[in-house]
Amino acid sequence: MSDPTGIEALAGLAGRLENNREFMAYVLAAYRKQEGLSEQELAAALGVTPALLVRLALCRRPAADSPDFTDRLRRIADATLIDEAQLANVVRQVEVLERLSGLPGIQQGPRHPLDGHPLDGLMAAARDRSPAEGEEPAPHEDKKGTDD
Amino acid sequence: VRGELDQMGSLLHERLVAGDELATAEIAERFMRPLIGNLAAMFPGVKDHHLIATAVEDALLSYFARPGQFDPRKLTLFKYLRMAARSDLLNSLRRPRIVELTAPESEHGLEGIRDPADLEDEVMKGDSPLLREVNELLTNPVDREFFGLMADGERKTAEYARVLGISDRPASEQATVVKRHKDRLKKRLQRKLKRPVDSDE
Repeated sequence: MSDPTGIEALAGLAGRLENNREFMAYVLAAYRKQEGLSEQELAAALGVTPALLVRLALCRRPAADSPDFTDRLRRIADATLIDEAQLANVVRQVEVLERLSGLPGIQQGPRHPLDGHPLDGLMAAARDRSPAEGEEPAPHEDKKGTDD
Repeated sequence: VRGELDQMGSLLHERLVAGDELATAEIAERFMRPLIGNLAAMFPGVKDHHLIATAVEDALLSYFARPGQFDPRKLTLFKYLRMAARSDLLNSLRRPRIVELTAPESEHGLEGIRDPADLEDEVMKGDSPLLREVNELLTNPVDREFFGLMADGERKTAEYARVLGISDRPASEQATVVKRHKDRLKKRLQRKLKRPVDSDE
């Protein structure tokens, strides 16, 4: 087979989940687009390998209104070796984008295939806007300062 | 092995239905490669492996979207996914844009094309390609087992405490030691995994 390790195939599957809001693949894609990061750059910003980033993308996205949201996010962070606070930042940032675009919160239930990333329009608008003075930097931008 | 395979599939299925966020990743990691290998062996005339990978993706995506359609009392999860992927592949091969329909080698197909025991072995091993790099870095057997629990999303502190050999200590102390070990292991692995990337720059 042309993909002896199987990573390429798993990455392909993760790519198809990028439009499904119930998966972390969607969150990562939205975050990458907003921050203008490549997959490699996102992996570096989160301090993991591209393979672990694929693992993260294949995880379901914890429901923000879940009473044990923090616990669920921690399990995902542990299973992918990502810093819990950094992962929470990424998830929260995408949630804010979703709220701004009027998308409902993620809940358990049937999912619907979507054409294109649901946040495409809003993210394009956000990219066009210059950052205002005093705005907080995106989580990945201050990463160097938080590393030990 | 067959009993273990059934049990493993059922457990993963239960976790998926229960809303365990890690279940989808684990199911994909465990089943995707064996399924692609199986379909490739079943349809040797299909030279475009993208078609095979897409069929397996379709099967997994459908299962993730509608896990209730799988009945663990009737089939193993592996067989269920294999049937779904095979059916998706046949459908895509029948579409007019495909120049040539390549029939499976055997109409009875699913068994006997490749030794099922090999496939079951592969699924049971559960050696995730996404975690291979991390596992290679873990030379200490305790750390390896400890990380195995993290990767599986184990919630019980007692399980981690058992691996660390501190089960006899008070629960609060176990929780502190486990948390500390988890954080240290994570940091250490992150540093080691970063190295090759840094050296490339």
